[in-house]
Amino acid sequence: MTPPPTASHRYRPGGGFAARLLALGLALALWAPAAAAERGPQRAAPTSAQAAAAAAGQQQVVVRWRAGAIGGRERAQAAGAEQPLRRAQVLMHRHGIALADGASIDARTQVVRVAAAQQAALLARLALDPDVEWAEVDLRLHRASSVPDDPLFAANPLPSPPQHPAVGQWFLRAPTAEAPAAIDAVAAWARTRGNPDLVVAVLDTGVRFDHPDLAGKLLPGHDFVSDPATANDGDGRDADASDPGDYLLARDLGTPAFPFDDCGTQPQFSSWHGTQVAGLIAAATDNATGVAGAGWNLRVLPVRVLGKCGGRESDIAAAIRWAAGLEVPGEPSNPHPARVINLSLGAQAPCSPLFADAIAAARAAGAVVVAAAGNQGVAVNRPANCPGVVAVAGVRHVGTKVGYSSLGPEVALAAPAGNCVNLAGPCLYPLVTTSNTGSTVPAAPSYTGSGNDATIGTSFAAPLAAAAAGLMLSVQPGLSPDELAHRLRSSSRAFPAAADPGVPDCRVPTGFSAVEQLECRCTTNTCGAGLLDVGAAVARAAEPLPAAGGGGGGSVGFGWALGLALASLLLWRLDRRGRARAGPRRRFS
Amino acid sequence: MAAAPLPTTPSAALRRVLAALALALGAALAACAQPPAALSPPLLLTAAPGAPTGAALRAAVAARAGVAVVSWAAVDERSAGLRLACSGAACDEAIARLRADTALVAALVADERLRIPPPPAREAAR
Repeated sequence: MTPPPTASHRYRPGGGFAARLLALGLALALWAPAAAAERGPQRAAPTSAQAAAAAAGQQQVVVRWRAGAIGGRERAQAAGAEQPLRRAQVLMHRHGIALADGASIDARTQVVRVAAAQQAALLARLALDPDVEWAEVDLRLHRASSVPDDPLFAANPLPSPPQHPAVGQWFLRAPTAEAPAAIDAVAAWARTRGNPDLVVAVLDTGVRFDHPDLAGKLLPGHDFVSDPATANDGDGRDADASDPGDYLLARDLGTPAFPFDDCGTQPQFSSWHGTQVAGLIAAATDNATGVAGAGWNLRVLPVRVLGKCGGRESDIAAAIRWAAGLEVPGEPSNPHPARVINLSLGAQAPCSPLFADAIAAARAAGAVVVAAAGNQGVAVNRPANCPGVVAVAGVRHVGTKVGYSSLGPEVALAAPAGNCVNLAGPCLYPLVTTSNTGSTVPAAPSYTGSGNDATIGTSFAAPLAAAAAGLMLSVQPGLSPDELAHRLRSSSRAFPAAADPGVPDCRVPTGFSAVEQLECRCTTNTCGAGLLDVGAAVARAAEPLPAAGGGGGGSVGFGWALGLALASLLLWRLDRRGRARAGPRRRFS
Repeated sequence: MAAAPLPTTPSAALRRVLAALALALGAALAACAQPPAALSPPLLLTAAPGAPTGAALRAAVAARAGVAVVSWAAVDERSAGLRLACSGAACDEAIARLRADTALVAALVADERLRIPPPPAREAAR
């Protein structure tokens, strides 16, 4: 078998001084764009101790160098023999991240080892390195099925407790003729189970930290509910993101003025809404307990913004900024900035300048913002209708719009939101997830079922898309929010034709006071680009990033031109000197 | 031998302590009986370009409104949710004064409430 071409094969020793100068010029040309691609001050090279730590890390990245990126000096070292690539040092000095060499795959491809916490940063920087053709996580192959052993994931779960839906977590499995709207998270898990350092922020009612199926999956988070009266935890903003319950008592409703003036007329039980959303994204998976999370290894940053009767726009906007890692005056910095922010909340109003600014700032910081379309069957809620938000509508198990889901051109795509089929008896296709048994204050950890506690609503479609975004970023951390949204939409499945010919096409609603559109056949102008397909989305995310923009391309071109011009000048001068010394004899030799 | 009478001085001291406690309790109860401080509706303020930021903005807002700022929940350096110590017409006047000062305030609007989307009715969830 012919060995693959290597640097040593291409190198021609004894090529003369001019050839070495040419190599120097080319090296300069190659170095220049790399230096230009650096952002911020030059980073100090890691110490050998850091390098050792990196070598002890668990993550591996495969790096493919561009043709010609292997410098002449390395070729010299490898002369006469096919040497493995040892370029971790080069990358360490260039990017300031401790690395160790791993196996060589061919002349331009090698594995480098990196500390798990640095993997995302390394991939992001390599994506900008003009010497690198591509770099990707060296995926660990899992068993072919990637089916978790969580008992409520499977269809027909054991009849104990009996109130759980017979279909299990149908929405995570591959689509079938019976449930074509399932998101096929199983296919995605065969490729990635999610980077545990990838953070999805859940801005909601807080979470129950004591739920065993969320153990180890929740970061500390923060509480942004500033009004003690609605916060229900005795104070304003604080560092405790736990959910004390958002119940409303008759005496709350009897309060004549703020803060409960527009809370409706009936007392309400606690919703444990944030715990449900968090479980859909990141419940502990394959732990033989309860449910699976669509994001498997992803972690949730709980940010409490809703108390009794909801939350104020000022608190939510502040929390959006904080979740993305931006500073909020008076609050501590967020040590775990999120790459995905889930907003399963809303109001029937156009996007406000405050939300537009906060969302733009979060996106500029690299966070993807996902929001629920709303449950009124009319125009899309604020903040899902804000620019740059991935708005998610809800569909039935068969892929038609579920009656309650709001809709419109602002929707990016649709995902299962839970539906019951029948009007009485067990709800047949809810989205089973983590919850709590308390009707007011917290009681025992639990799972939602198929009765009155069934999880249905666009609040629960959005976190499926948020988890998909987290998995996409796990395989391609350099995805910008816009590029991610594009790949999420373009990988979605086409809406199926309605089995029932009596189901009308969805229409763009006229506003928030429009007549509620019940079940209808989705169009791309009402329910987004198609049905969420997590397996396809992760596959699309793993494709190479588009070439760098004008600035990066320009710097590469300039570097090449400068290096080649320098090398040509040197060769020309050498040639003239040589001719002058050798005289006519050399000319004809 | 007859028992010596108990000293009276401690009883007098005890009475003084009890009286002080009773006074403190009364004062506390009286304070509780006061009507709650009047508050404006929740407001959302965005400072004008060039206006002070942070704590200085809060102080300037209180001075211009002519009433105390009771709560201040920052969104960023230029925006915050707030409540003013006022009610009824006094609030309307304070808000009008703030809105009129365009060098200080770019926008002053209601800090709207967002909620969990309402649970769907079973009929809409088929």
